[in-house]
Amino acid sequence: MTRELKDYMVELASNVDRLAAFMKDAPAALRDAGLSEADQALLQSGDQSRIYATLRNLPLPPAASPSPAPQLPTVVAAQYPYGVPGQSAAAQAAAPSAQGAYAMPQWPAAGYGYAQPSYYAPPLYYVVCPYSPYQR
Amino acid sequence: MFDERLIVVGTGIRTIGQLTLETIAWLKRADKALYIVSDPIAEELIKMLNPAGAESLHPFYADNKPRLQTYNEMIERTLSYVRDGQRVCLAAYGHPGVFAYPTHESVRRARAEGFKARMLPGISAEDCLFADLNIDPAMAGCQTYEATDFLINGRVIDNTSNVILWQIGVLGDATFKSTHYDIKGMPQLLTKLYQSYNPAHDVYIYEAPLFPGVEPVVRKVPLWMLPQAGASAISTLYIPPAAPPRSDPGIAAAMGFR
Repeated sequence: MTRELKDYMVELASNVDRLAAFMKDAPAALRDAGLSEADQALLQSGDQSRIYATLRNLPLPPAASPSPAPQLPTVVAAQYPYGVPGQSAAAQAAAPSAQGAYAMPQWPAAGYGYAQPSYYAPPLYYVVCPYSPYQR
Repeated sequence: MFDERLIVVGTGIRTIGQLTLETIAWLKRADKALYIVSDPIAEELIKMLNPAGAESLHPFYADNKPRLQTYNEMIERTLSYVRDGQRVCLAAYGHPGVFAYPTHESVRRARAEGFKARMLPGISAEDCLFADLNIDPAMAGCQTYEATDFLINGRVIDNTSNVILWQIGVLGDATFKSTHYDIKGMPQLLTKLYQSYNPAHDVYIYEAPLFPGVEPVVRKVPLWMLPQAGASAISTLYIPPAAPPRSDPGIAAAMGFR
């Protein structure tokens, strides 16, 4: 990792003009910051594990596969149990509904497993448990 | 005004964009800037803002050491500087008051000892989750538990509301691990969740992004596949409602709703 990458990211966190320029045109902002092509590519890769490993000087993990499409939850029917107001019955029938009547899914194809990311946040919380050996 | 001896701040989950101006100012102004952060950018920024007073509390963590012991050592270190008459800014990642024992306890003990202490809000992982998953906790309500606490302390789920379980990646482990946590409580967690949910109910593994340009991890799996879903130490489990609310027509009518 180049020192410039870390310095540039620190500046993004504290300088609103630099952040605005980065948001407006990231490739140009990175070029103007004088970052190496490798650092520019890394920062634009969206690969969190590799960015983290680079910043921490850890061995680089394999490049992540492209992010899957967002899988956003649907809670529509739970919010409107008697139907979405103003929507026809046909439209409501076609809309996503609350879960409950699913068939048991099949095991996914091989390769479904996800590797553990190499970054972590140390927990800051402990559990109050009457059986914990750490409670006195 | 602004004469606190201890100020506790949060750096947000993604430091770039989530660090408030007030937090930056306090980090700069303090005599000691103590920090517990996982984001290397946050660490670097704190060192830049306060080169003379920056000090990481991370060395208190050690493999297989009980986390509570680590937290108590962090609290003691923080208060030792306060007692020495220094103005201390303690920074933690996320919101310093959300799932963070040493920060709350430092404020409590400082106040108990007669020092002026305050905590400032930050952006927590739950705030990121609401934004990334497009969920409003006011719709259907929201229950939030730390996963191990949920399991061992008899918490009760309302499956008509949103449910968020934190730290499922460190389930049942009260020690610190620098590399990999053994999620040994997963069978018990599933058994408990099956009391409220169909095994095929879709749940979501969520991880907030740490850097700009990185997409959040939002991974949908049926509940029965949760052990294979690749939960990490920073994963959060989101469970959408499984049933409509149980409205009370009598109360609704009495309040004038039709």
